[in-house]
Amino acid sequence: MNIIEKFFPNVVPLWNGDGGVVEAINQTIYMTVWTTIVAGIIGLFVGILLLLTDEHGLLENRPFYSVLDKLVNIFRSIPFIILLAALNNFTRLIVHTGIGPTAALVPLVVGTAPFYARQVQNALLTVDAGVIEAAQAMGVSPLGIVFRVYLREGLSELIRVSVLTIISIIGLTAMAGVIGGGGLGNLAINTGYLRYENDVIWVSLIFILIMVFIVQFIGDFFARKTHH
Amino acid sequence: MSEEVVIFDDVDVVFKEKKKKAVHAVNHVSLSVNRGDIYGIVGYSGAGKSTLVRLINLLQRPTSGSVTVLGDDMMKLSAKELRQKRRKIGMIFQHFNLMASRTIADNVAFPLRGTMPKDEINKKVSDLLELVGLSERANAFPAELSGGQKQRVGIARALASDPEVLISDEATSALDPKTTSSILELLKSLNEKLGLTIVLITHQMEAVKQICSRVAVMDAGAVIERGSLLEIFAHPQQQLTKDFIDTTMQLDATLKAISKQPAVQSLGPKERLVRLTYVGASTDQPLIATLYREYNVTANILFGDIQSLQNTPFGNLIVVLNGEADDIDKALAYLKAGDVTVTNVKLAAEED
Repeated sequence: MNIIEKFFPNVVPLWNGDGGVVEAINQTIYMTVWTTIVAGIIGLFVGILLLLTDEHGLLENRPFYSVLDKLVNIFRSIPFIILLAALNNFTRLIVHTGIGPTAALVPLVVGTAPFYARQVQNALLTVDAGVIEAAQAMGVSPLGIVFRVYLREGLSELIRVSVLTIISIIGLTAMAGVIGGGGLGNLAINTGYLRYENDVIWVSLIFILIMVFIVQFIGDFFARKTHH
Repeated sequence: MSEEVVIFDDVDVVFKEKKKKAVHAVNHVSLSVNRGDIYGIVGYSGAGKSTLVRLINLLQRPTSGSVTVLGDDMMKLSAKELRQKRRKIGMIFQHFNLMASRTIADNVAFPLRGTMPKDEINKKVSDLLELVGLSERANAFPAELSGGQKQRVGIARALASDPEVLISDEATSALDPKTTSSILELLKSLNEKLGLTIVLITHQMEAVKQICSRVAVMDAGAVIERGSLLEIFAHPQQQLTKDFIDTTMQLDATLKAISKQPAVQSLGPKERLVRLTYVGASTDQPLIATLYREYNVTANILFGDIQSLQNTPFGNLIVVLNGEADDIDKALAYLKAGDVTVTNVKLAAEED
C-alpha cells in the first residue's frame, strides 16, 4: 500500500466515490459499449446500403448513393468536440437530458456511425467480385447475397474495422467530459491536469490503454479465427 | 429436330462510360445452341466472349435484341422468375470464385440451402463430390486445394441445382495443360452422362478441339465464323480462325523451322511448296502414292500431323511437290476433288 501511496498520492483517496477512478472507468465502459452497439447497427446498415447502391453494386442507384455518400462525408468531417456542443438540442430531444454519460451517447453515435459505415463499405468491398457474381449466377437474391456472401466472406475484415472503430470510440469518450459525460478522459483533464495531479493523468491513461489492448486482443483473435 | 436451348437474336451490348468512347462489346450477334451441344466460342481477350455468355443468365443485360433460354425470353422474366431460371443455368469461372470461408462441402451445398431438407442436401453434396472425384476433401477449405481441384468444386457447385445448361467462362485458362485436359474430359463426361448442354468460351483452341461439337469464332464483338468442329477445322474461312487452328497444330512454329531447310530455301522451277489439309474419309486414300502413279508428281513430306477430332481423323501435310507444272495443276485439281484443301505456303523467313 505504501508504494502505491508513494507513487499515486492523489489517486488513492480518489479511488471510490463521486468523480472517482472506478466511476470514471464505468462511465467510459458504459459510453463505449452503448455507442458500439447503436452506432454498430446503424453503421452496418448504412455501410451495406452504400455498398449495394454504389456503382456496380447489386442495387445500383446513383442519386441515392450520392446523397448518402455526401451525408456520411459531412458527418465524418465535423470535429467531435464541436459535434458535442452542436447536437445539444437534438440530444435533449432524444434522451431528455443534456448532460451526463447518457447525453454523450447521442453525439458519440452520430460521430461514430458514419465512420463505421464507411469502414463497413470498404471492408465488404474486399469480398471478391467474382464470388458475388457466382452467387448471382446461382440465383441468390440480393438480400441473400448480403447475409450469405458479403457478411460471411467479409467477416474477418469486418471484425478488423470494428476493432478500429471501437478503439476510436474509446478515444472519443475522452472528450465527453465537456458535456458532463465523465469517464477517464474527464478524470485526466479535470482532476489530473487542472489540479496538477499528474499521477491521476497516468492512471487514466493506463486504464484507457488496458481497454484498448483488450479490445485489440479479442478482435485479433476472432479475425484470425474467421480468416481462411 | 433438336431443341434450341439458348437463342441469341440480334443481340447488341454497348458499354457507355462517362467521357469515354462507347464500347461495342457484342455486335448484333444471332446464335443458337442446341440441347446436348458442347458449343465452343473462341476469340482473343476483349473479343466480347465473356459479355456474350453473361447474356445467357442475364448477368449482363443486352442493349438491344433478345435472349431466349430454355423457352423463356429472359428480358421478360420478373426478378424472382429470373432467379429461378438462373438455377437452371450453371456457371463455372476462370478463377473458380469459391467462397474462402466455407468448406468444399459447404461451397457445393451453397445453392441448395433452403431448397430441400438438410439430410437430402448432405446426400446430394456427397454424390456431387464423388462425381467430380473430391469426396476425400469435403471438409477442406478452398485455399488448401490445387487449381484443378478448385475447378472441380466449381463444377460440383454449378451442378447442384440440376442445371440444363452450363456456362464455362474460361474455366480452364488458369490451369496447366494436363489439368485442363482432365477438366475438359470431366465436362465431356457430364455432357454425355447428364445430357448437359455446355457453352464454353476460351481462347485456347485446344480446349475446343478436345470436346466441342460446334464452334463460333468471335472478333471485336461479332461472330465471324461458325459451324461444326470438323467444318471449322477443315475449311476455315476467316484468317483469325486459321490462325487459331494453326496455333493448336503448332504450325506457325513448324513453318518457321521448315523455311530454314535448304530444300525449301532453294525451290527449283518444277517444285511447289503446299499444305494439304483433309478430314475423315480422304485420309484413308493413299494420296501421295496416287500423285506419283497418276500424275508423275513426287511429294516430299516436310511435316505431317494427323489428329482425331470427335473421332474423325484430321490431317495436315506440308509437302514439296515436284513435277511438270501441268502435272502439278492436274494433281492439285484431283486433290481438291477428293476434299483435300490445298494452300500455298508462304515462307515466314521471307518476311523476317
